[in-house]
Amino acid sequence: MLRRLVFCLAFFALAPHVFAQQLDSVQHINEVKVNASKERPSLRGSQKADTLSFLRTSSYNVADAIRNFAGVIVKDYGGIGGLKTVSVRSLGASHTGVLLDGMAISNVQTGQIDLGKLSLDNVESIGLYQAQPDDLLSNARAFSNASVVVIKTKQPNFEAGRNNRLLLKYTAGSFGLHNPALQYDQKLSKKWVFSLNSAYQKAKGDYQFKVDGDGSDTLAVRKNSAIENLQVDVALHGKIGESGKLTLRGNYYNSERGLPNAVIYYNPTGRQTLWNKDFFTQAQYQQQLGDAWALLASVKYSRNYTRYNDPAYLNLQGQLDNRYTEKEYYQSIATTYKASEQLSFNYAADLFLNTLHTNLYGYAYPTRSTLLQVLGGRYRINNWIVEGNILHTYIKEKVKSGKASPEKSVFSPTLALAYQATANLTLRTFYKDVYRYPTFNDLYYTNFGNRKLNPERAKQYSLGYVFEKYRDSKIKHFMLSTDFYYNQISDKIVALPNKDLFIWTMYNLGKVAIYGADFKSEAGYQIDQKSTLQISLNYTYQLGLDKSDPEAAVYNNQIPYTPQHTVALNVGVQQARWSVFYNQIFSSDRYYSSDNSRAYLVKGFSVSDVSACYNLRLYNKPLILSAELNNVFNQNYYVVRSFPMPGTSIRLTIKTII
Amino acid sequence: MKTNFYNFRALFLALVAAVAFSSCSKDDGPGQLPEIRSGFYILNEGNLNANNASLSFYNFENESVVADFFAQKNGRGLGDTGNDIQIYGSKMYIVVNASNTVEVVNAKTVKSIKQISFVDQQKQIGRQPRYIVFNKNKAFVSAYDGTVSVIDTASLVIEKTITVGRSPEAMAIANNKLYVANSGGLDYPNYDKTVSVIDLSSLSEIKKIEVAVNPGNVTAGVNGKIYVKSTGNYGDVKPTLSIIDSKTDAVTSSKEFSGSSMTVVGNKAYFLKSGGVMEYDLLTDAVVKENIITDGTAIKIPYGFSYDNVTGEFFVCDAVSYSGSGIVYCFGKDGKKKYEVKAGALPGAVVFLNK
Repeated sequence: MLRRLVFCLAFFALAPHVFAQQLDSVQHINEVKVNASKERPSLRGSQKADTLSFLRTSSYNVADAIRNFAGVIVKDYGGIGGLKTVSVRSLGASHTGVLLDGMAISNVQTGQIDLGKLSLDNVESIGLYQAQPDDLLSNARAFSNASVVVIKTKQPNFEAGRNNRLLLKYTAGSFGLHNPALQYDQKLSKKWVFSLNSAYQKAKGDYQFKVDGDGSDTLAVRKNSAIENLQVDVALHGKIGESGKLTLRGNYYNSERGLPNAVIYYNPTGRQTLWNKDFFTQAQYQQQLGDAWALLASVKYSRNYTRYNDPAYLNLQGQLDNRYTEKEYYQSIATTYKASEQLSFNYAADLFLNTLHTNLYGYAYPTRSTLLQVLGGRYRINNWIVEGNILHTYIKEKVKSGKASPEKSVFSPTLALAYQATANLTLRTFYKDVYRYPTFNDLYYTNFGNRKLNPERAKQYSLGYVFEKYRDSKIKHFMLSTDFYYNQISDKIVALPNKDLFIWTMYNLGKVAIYGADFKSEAGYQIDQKSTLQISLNYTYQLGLDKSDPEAAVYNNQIPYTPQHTVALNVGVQQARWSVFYNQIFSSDRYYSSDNSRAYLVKGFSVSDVSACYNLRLYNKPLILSAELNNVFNQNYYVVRSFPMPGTSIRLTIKTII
Repeated sequence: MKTNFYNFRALFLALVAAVAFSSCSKDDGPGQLPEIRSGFYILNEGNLNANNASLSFYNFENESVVADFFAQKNGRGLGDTGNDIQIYGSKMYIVVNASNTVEVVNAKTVKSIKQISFVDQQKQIGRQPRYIVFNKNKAFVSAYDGTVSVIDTASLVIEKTITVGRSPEAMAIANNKLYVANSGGLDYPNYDKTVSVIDLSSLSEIKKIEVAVNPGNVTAGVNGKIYVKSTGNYGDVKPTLSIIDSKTDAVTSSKEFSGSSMTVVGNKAYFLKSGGVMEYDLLTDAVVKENIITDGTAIKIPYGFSYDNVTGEFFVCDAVSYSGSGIVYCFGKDGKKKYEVKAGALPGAVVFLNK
């Protein structure tokens, strides 16, 4: 292990890389240290992206940053303001958890997190973990999803002798994009640091696209897709005593965006607008208690306000105006106990309350109380690691009108096993049984909800290997991994017309079987003293079969929006002063219905991006210039039917630290 | 549900027209010939936002179905949410709700004659056309902006727009009057509960008749009776069947009634219900058959119903899974399945084409 650490550091020392890394140097090297010093690769398979790879993959938001990952399908409605959700291993977006600095971003109303809304301005790294994060000292929620996207924000760091640091960034691009951002860190005392991060974004989003099938032969322009938003994040980081760490954070996000409708033939109207005002504040306290115990306590309050307006709605008011306010009160305590070098235990308990207020007629106004508890441990013996836990979920709901959904109490286990066959090769397997709780929309949407719904159940079986080698030769780093998996969804929540045929209702009727394989490879090649060639190639195979009704014509058909083959290639050259990267995503044909006939086909696509970055020093300050060219070959493509994606576009960024 | 169940009536009108024409020339042999079907069209509503409304054509001669017939003939799709289809004279009219168009095509070749737009360019609003009926060379199109537009079937120009109630749906004609069901569906929960009466000579609304909340279906029955089916409010107000006497425009009967959509054939009305089609006697006000399907053919999601008065066959549209292709079943008078035809997404209406 030590050898690998040395290699890694050597890699960074050898390549006169440090200069290029100026911006994020300190924590980046820290991170490499941490990564390299990990004794074994993740038990369940994890993938990471950081500030450097964001540029390499021409990423603008969190969804972009993880689209190259194996096993990931991004459902993208197009444009900067377009909804982008992530389904991992075909389980559906609502089975993907999102943790921001260890705290869940939740949406009990729809169960889907828009990862397009999360900009990268404040993000240091993003990890995708199957089943759960590697860190046992996590809150119980981190264990409650089929997979989890772990987002870590930028941590303050200072040059030697400095007490403050100001990072300024400005991005401008096609379709009227302007995106200034700043990060300011200030040492308040030896123990306390203050950080401010803020980003503003404005775009017209008026890209051209080709409509297929309406007989037109000219390009149309996407209308009503302008977006304007502002995000402000303030944090206070403190050290308390020998090992206590406290972080207080407040975050505000305000946006207004046009919601471009689906492209409807012959009807170019549509002026819907969406407003978001999201606020959260959280506190986290981490403390080491002696050698054996560690403690993590967290509290969070969040309030998400959404307003939707359609001024073309043909009712008496002449508009549809819906408002939703979702609140969460969250607290958690997590602890780990290290019984010996080989054996550790973890326990976490989260208690949280979610409410949703709307101006919908006859709404139930539900309040959900959730108690999550997880008890588990990790045991290492010789070349084996066993990790397991059991999660208990207790949910109780109250409503203002009608009957609440019955209370639920469910145990769900996770078991993971890894075997280090050689110094470079690790075999790994896991099983996880996890539930996706019905959202408030599923349960309580006026007339449509079904309060008797059961949670949707997903079982995951995964088996794979990872081969990783760091060498002191031309090929500095080489990694290869393959994971095969079988997932089973039962009691899948689907909408169907009810008995009277007038109204749709949610039912636990779906069954899906997913057979998949994630293949990842990565290599670093030292071209000469100054430059390295970096390449990564990921491939995903997904067979997601509809098993709901053996009598149905669609039985055993591929589930909607699930391409069988996805390939992500990233290749580039990194030099001291500059880097150039090429990114390519290929996604095979998919269907927008469970009916796998040609009529329901959404054509596959192959989209290429190029990015370049140049570093220089001006008045002894680092200056980084980067350019990203997206969809280089101007592909006209759709991820979601009727929602066109932009053609070629450019982004230019200038960044400095004062 | 955005389906239409009024094919029979248009057919009936067409038939009346045909009879009227032929009666003028009693001695001409060909005029006396009975109608001969060459096939039928299926209007597939399509999935919301998917622009996959489509027309299927089933040819009786070679007993085969052609999908996407409109797109094949015109090099462009119907668009989004095909809501109603009728043949009047030599033309066929397809009302496409979300695309805000009425597509007028040659009924036999399906070649486009004109696309009538219901987009209000000034207000940048889609007026959302819903249903179409015909009277004396005029087409009447209800639209969710609270109007009925009058289209001349020769010039294909909107000649007049008549204001009616809120979110109007289906229409029926009796006694030189047009009855329009004002659902108010877009004002949920504040539904409309009226039927607008339009005088077909002056082409203006002469009154509003109050019926049960949320009327959607309206059909002309025998003896000048107008049957109005209200959906209710999905809560305490149950679905209701009201009868209007078109001579007096008085509501003569109103009673709670379950069953979706309504097609009147002579003295019988047919309603879609879970698993099949219910037959109802309008004279005795009683259910005749719980299900006209007698051979156990299960309709997964009944989505449309048509009766062929020439052959006496029943056509039942099945949306199947709601997401993929549907099926249209043909049943004989005995309620036994004769054959089935693969349709497009959400088949909602069948209209018959004569040779």
